[in-house]
Amino acid sequence: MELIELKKHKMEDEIYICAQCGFCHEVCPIYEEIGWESASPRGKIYWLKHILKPGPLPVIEIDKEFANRFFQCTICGHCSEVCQTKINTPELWKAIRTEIYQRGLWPDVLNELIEALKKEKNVYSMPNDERTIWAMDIEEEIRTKVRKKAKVAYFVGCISSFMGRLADIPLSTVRIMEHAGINFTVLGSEEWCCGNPLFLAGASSLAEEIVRYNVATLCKLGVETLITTCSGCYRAWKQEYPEILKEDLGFEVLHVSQFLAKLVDEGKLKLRSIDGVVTYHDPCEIGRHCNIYEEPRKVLENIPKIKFVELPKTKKDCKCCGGGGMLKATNPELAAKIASRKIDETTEVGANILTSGCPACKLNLMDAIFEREATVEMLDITEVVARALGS
Amino acid sequence: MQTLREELYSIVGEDRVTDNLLERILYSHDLAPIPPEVLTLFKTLPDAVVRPTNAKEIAELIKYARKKKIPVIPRGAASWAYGGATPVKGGIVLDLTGMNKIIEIDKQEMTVTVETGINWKKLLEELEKKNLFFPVYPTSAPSATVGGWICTGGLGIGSLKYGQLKENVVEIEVVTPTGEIVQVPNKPNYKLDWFFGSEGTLGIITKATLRIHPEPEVFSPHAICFNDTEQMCNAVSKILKDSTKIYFIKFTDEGYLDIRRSLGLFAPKAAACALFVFEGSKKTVRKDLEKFHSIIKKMDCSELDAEKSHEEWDERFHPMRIKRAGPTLLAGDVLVPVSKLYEFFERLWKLKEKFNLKMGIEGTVVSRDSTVVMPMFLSDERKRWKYLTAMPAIKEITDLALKIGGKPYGGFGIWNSFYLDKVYSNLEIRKMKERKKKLDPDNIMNPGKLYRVQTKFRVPLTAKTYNFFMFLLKILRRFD
Ligand SMILES: Cc1cc2nc3c(=O)[nH]c(=O)nc-3n(C[C@H](O)[C@H](O)[C@H](O)COP(=O)(O)OP(=O)(O)OC[C@H]3O[C@@H](n4cnc5c(N)ncnc54)[C@H](O)[C@@H]3O)c2cc1C
Ligand code: SF4
Ligand code: SF4
Repeated sequence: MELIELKKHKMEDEIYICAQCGFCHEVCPIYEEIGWESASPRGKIYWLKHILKPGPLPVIEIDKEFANRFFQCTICGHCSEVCQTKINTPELWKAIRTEIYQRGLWPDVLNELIEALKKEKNVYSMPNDERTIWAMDIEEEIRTKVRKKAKVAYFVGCISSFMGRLADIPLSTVRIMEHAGINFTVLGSEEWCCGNPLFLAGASSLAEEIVRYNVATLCKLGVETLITTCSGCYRAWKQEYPEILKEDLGFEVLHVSQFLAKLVDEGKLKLRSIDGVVTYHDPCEIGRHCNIYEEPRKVLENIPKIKFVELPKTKKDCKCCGGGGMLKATNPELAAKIASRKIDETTEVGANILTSGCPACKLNLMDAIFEREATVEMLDITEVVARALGS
Repeated sequence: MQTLREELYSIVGEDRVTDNLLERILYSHDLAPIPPEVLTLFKTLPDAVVRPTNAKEIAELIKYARKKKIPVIPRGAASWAYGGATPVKGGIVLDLTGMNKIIEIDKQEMTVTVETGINWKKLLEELEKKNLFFPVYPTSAPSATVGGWICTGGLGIGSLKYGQLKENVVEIEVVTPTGEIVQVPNKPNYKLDWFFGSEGTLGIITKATLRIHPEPEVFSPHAICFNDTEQMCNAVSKILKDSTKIYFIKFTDEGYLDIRRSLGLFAPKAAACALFVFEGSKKTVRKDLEKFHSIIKKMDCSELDAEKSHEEWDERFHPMRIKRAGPTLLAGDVLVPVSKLYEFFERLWKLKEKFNLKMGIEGTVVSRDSTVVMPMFLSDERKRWKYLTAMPAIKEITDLALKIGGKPYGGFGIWNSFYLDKVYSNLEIRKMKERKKKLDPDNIMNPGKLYRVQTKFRVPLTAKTYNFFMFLLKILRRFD
C-alpha cells in the first residue's frame, strides 16, 4: 500500500532508515505509560514499514483504530533527540497524521476543532469578540492597547485568552511590560488562532488563510517584535509560518522568556526575592523544537536569592508534560497520567513551585496537581517574574 | 471453549495480554530486516503477547504453556539481530521490559540486584546518582536489557579491563522451562555458566545480582588518527602489551569514516581511527597515560583534542549512525585474534571489492588477545533481489574470520546457528543439547533456534542447506 503523504513529505526513506534499535523507548512518555510496543516510536515506524511492504505477514488496515494510535503522541520530539539515525520524528508523525486526515480518519474531536476554527477563529468555539475576556479586571487599560500602532505586539494565543484559569499569564505579561515601560499592542478580537493545532494534527493545508491573515494584521500595525507566551504559538510562528509563506515574516518573533531575558540584560526589571523552591519544566515546543533553554533560566536566576533547582531531566532531556501534540484533546486520560509524573519529579527535587513557559503545560500540570491534591504550585514564568515585581 | 487470550487473562490479568494483530506484528521480529523470501519459512507471528510483572506470573505462564505445548519466547529490547526474540513457530512472546526495577543496591557487598528487563543505560544512570559504577555493558545500552545481554554476547564496553559479563554477575534468578523459580548458583546441580549465551532456551532470567564498583575518578578518552591502518593495528597490539589497565579500545577504518563524512557527521581525514579510554584514579590514569603517549609518540599519527575525544566517547552508543546512508545496514560480527587484525582488514577490503560493497569496519577490543570486528555494509532492502544476493557477503565475512583463527561473535539464534560446530566441539554441543533436553523436556522455551533451526514446515534448516543457498545466491549475484 502507498502512503502518499509520507512520499510528499519526503519521509518514506526514514521508515527504512530506522534501525529498530529501540533507543527511543526509554524517553517516550506514551510508551512509559502504556508499555506495549505499539505505543513506542519504534513500533509506530515498524507499522508504517509493514504497510509499505507487508511481506508474508497479514496486511494491516488503515482504519480508525490504527489512526487513533498515531494520536497517542505528544510530538514532544524526545525520540528524535536520542535517535541514533537522527530521524525527524515530529515531521514524520505530522506527515502520517496528514495521511490520516486525508483519509477522513481523524479522531472526532479534531473535526469539531476544525469547525470551531473555521467559524470562530479560535479552538474553543467562543465568539472571537471575547478574546480579551482575560483582561476583565483591567478592561480600560487593555482597551488602549488593542490594535494600536506599536513596535511590540503580544500574541496572547487561544488558551490564555479564553481559559479563565490561565488568565494570570497574560495579566502578568501586561504587568511586566508596564513595569519595563514597553509600549505594546494586542490584537483583541482580530487575533486568530495561530493555527498550531492544525499543524500538529496534520492539516497544515487548512492553515494558510490563518497565517496570511495574522501576519497581515500585525504588519498593518508596524510591529517589529512579536511576543508569545505560548510555546506552541511560538513554534508555529517561528517554524511553520515562514514555511507556508515561503518568506520571512518581516518582524522578529520572541518567546516571552527570551523577551524577559533581554529586559534582564537591559536592567529593566527590578526583581525582588520570592518565597519557595522553584524548578523549571522545559516546554517541548520551545525546548527541543527551538532550542530555548538558557533564557528562562537566566530570568529565574536573576531573581535575588531565588532557590532554584533543576528537575532530574532537563533541557533537551526534559520529559514532556503530556500536554502537547493534541494529546489532551484526543487522549485526556493519558495526558493526565503523564503530567502526574512531572509532579513526582518536582517533589523529588524538593521544589514547591513548578514553572514553565507555556499555557498548555500549565493547564495539564495544574490538572495533575489538582487530581493528586499535591502542594506544588504551578506558575508560568511570567507569573513568577510578576510575583518578583511585587504584584 | 476459552481462547488462548482468555486463558492467559486468568494468569496475568487482562491489561497485560494481547492477541491483537496490530500488536502481534510488532512482536514478530527483532532488529534485523529479514528478506520476505526467508521469512516465509517461519511462523514469526506470535499467537499472543504477554507483559508479565514478576517471576511467579512467569512460572504460571510457563506451566500453562507446557501443558498446552505452546512455545514461549522471551524478549528484552529485541536489539539483537540473530532472531532470538523472533518466534519461528508462533507461541507466546513475553515482553520483559516492564520488569525494570532496581531491587537493591548493597553498598556493603558492592552489588546491585535488578529485574532483568531494565536497560543498561538506565541502570548505569541510577548507579551514577549514587557514585557507583558497573563497568561492562553493550554499546546498545540505551535499549538492551540486562537479561538480553546475559542471554547473548556479554562482551562490550569495559570487557577489556573487567572481562565478560559473566565474570561480573554474582547470582541470577531463573524461571525454568518447567515453571520452577530457582536461584543460581545456589540451586544444587545448576551452574551460572549455563545461562550466559542461553538465548532464552533454558528459562527466563528474572533477576540478576551484579558486582559494582565505586565510580572512577576520571574517564580519559583519547582519539587517535592514523595515516596507515597497519600502524593502527600495531599500536593496538603494543598498547595492549604495555598498558595493562586500559579500559576500552575501539577502532574504525577509512571506509567507515567515509560513510560518516558523506552524512555530514564528524570524521577526521585518516586511514583509520582508534579511541583509547583509561579510567580509574587520577594518579593511575596519569601513569597509564604517560606510557600510552610514549608509545603513540613514535607512531605516524595525531591525537584529536580533548573535547573531540570526549565526543567520540559519547558516540560509543551509536555505531548504527551510518545506517542513514543505506537505508539498510548489513553486518558481520566476528571475534578475531588481535595479532591477525591487520590481515583481517586486508581480507575484508578484498571482499569489499569483490562484492562491490560500501563497507565500513568498526571494532571493539574485548580482551588482551581478541577483538570484536563488525564490518558493516550498506544495502537497500527495498531492492529485493539485490538485497537477497548481498546476504552471502555476511557468510563470507564469518568464513574469513574462521580462516584466520577467529569465530562468529554474539551468539547463534536463527541466523548464526549454522556455525555452532565452529565455536563448540562436538562434545560441548552434545552436552548443551542434553542440558536443554533435561531442563526443557517439552522443548517449549524459545524452540527452533541455537541448537537446530526449525522451519514452520517441520523440516530443520541445516548448515548444508544454508551453505547451498548462500552459494546459489552468490552465483546469482553475478547475473545482477
Ligand atoms: C547499536 C547496537 C549495538 C550493540 N552492541 C553490542 C555490544 O557491544 N555487545 C554485544 O554483545 N551485543 C551488542 N548488540 C547486540 C544486542 O544489543 C545485545 O545482544 C543485547 O544484549 C540484546 O539485549 P536485548 O534486551 O535487546 O535482547 P533481545 O534481543 O530481546 O533478546 C536476545 C535473546 O535473549 C533472550 N532473552 C532476552 N531477555 C531474556 C531473559 N530475561 N531471560 C531469558 N532470555 C532472554 C531472547 O529470547 C533472545 O534470544 C548491539 C546491538 C545494537 C543494535
Ligand atoms: S514525539 Fe514524544 S510522544 Fe511522540 S513518539 Fe516521540 S517521544 Fe513519544
Ligand atoms: S531510536 Fe531512531 S532508529 Fe532507533 S528505533 Fe527509535 S526511531 Fe528507530
